[in-house]
Amino acid sequence: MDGTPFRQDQPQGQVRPGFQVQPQFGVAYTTQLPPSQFLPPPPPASEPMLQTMPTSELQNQPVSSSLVPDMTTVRTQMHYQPGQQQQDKASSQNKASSQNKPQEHSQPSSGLTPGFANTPGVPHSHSHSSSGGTSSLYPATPAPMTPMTPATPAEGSGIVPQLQNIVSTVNLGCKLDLKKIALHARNAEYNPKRFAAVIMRIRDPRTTALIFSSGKMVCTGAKSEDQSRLAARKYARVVQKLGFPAKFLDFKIQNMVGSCDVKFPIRLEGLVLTHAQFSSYEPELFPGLIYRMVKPRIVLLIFVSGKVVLTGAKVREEIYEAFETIYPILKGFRKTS
Amino acid sequence: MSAMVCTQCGSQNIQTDPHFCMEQRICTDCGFVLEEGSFQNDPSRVYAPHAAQLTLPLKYRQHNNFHDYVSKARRDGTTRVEEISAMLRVTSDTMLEEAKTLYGRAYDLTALKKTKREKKRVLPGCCVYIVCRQHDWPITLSDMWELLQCIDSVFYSVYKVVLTELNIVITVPDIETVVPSVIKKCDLTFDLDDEQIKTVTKIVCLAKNTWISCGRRYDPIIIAAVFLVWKTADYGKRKTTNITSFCRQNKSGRQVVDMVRSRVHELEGILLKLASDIPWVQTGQINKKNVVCYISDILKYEKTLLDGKYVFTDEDSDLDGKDEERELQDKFLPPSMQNRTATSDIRDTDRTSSDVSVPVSYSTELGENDIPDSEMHKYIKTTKEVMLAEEVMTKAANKTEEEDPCKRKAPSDTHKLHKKKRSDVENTP
Repeated sequence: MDGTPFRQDQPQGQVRPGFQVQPQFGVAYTTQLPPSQFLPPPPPASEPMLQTMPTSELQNQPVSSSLVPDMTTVRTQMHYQPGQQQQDKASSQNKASSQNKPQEHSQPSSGLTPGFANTPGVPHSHSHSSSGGTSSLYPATPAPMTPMTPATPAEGSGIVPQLQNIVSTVNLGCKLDLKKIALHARNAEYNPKRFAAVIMRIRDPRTTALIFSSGKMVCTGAKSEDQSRLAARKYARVVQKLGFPAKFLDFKIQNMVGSCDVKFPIRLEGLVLTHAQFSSYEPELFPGLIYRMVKPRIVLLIFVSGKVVLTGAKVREEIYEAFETIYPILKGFRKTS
Repeated sequence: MSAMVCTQCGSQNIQTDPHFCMEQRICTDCGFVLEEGSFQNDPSRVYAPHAAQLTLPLKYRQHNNFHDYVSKARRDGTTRVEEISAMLRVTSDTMLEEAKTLYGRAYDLTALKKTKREKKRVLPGCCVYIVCRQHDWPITLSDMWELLQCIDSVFYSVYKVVLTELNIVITVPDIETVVPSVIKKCDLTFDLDDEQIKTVTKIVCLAKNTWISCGRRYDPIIIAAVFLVWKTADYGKRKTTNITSFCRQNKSGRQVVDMVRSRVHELEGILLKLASDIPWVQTGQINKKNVVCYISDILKYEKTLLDGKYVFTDEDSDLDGKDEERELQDKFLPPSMQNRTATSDIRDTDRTSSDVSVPVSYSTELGENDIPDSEMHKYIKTTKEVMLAEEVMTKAANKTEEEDPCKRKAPSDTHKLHKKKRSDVENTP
């Protein structure tokens, strides 16, 4: 994949009220609910409920008006059937909806109104979630349902993402002779024709450093912030012992990568329909869905097996917050029928 | 000074006549030329195309339509948009105009200004693809790659830039909508009638419901479904045909053949699971090879089989409702989740995991705390090792020097025999 997926310039969202949850595994962090602007708007209460929605599930779950409609409605559409069935359902729903899009065409024609994908700046309404959108080219708009949440906010997911990689930089404060470093240090490689830096490795913590002649250094591979700092200090100490007046200035963590497993399969096609503004899913190119969360500014790679990779964080709490934000959304896409 | 009287004949009938772009004052009676126009003071000849009176280098603009000037690259790109639309058989003028407008906007993006030529070459294709998807055409990225003969990562990078900068949201087509175009693209040696295409579409939907198609390329799944339907059509003759020979008919690449093979295995596994739930099928009767014969039954009762609600249920089976539901949920899992062992879920217990606390100092000065001198030998070579390393490096450097000059000298020596130097030629008397 091209190296650009983790760069994104989007405006920051509003500040939302946060609240503390029970510290898990000795780590305290703040979780925040996803702001309503970043999720599909709640359906108007006056419209009738979908006939296909399993009523037993509706009764079991508490109604909460503060959160946006969860994706339980998406469950109804998970059973994909081509042809007649969806068109019949869709036509009955079309009466209630304001947008009346044409149904499946055997041949695409120019006179069609632009597809639902053409509305920029607005998160997709769950209209697309309940349409069972598969064979019909224009999934009918939904009928809305009473907003529900799969779990109350205070519960949390119970899963803590594990940090897998930390990238940090530090300034050693002096110019360096890379040839001397490569010659005198163990586990150092330097090939100026290929790359203009010495690549050094240490075993504890298991990390790799790129040391440049300007005195700047990049340290990768550590599993925690302290380990990254310790490793960087070790590299700097080695350089100092080789005769350079090295210091340890401006240590900064540039990127943190975490991963976790939600333990259930996820319907990526459904997720990209309802969160099209944030998601990018191209199965021809990459099997995972790339979700660019706005607040916190984290990029998540979500896979069908339930594994989630979170990256782009500067502090650990951003990863935890991002996961707590995405977990309820993912839970809405778990069942097949 | 304007002469009102002809100096030759004295008449006052003087007229101005533009002669070869030069104005001349001529006496109409005798034809005497009184005055010729001058280029310098003629106000009509002052070039001032707009009020600002800027003067730009001539070679960067056209004289008369300065504001409508379109560069050659932009014109070529627009032509390319038209060509690609024609190749995709976009007959609608609206779509073509939209594609051209989008190309015009994308052309001006700063992110695409200073990129490689191959990215700029791909941009018209991206715009046409975006417009087609906005009109819900069942066209996939792989179709565009094949059409444009470009690398997938290059196309995707340009495509992403256009989407993010121009704030467009595009979704991939559903796999069912793509079935007819993929079948057409495969260029099969045999024809599929409508009923068979419907069956293929139903099998693809089944694959979608049972997590086989999620996160995967569309083509291999569709080809696998076509293979199963083709086998069913004449089971007696075709039951021994393997996938490689089938794909040879489609002229697919080896990578695609491997993917098709694994999809066929997965589909057969799913069909086997579903067929074993059919009440009138005996357990020992079906296996992976003959399960294709039961495809019509499986698809007919697909919903019931997937939900797991049997027509004939015992009363006792309702007791453990929750366990059954959980089992049914686990019945169909994505292939990547199926072979999970318990140990894969345990957190990393390596001592360098993120929860292990590590004592670290925050000062800018480095010292013994970071690496004690007693351990420094692990990180820095001894003087003997350094000397040995230097010897090896100098030997290697010498070796390359010896080899290269020899190689370089040999051809030049032979050339010297044949070539005369100019100095030799000049110096010979």
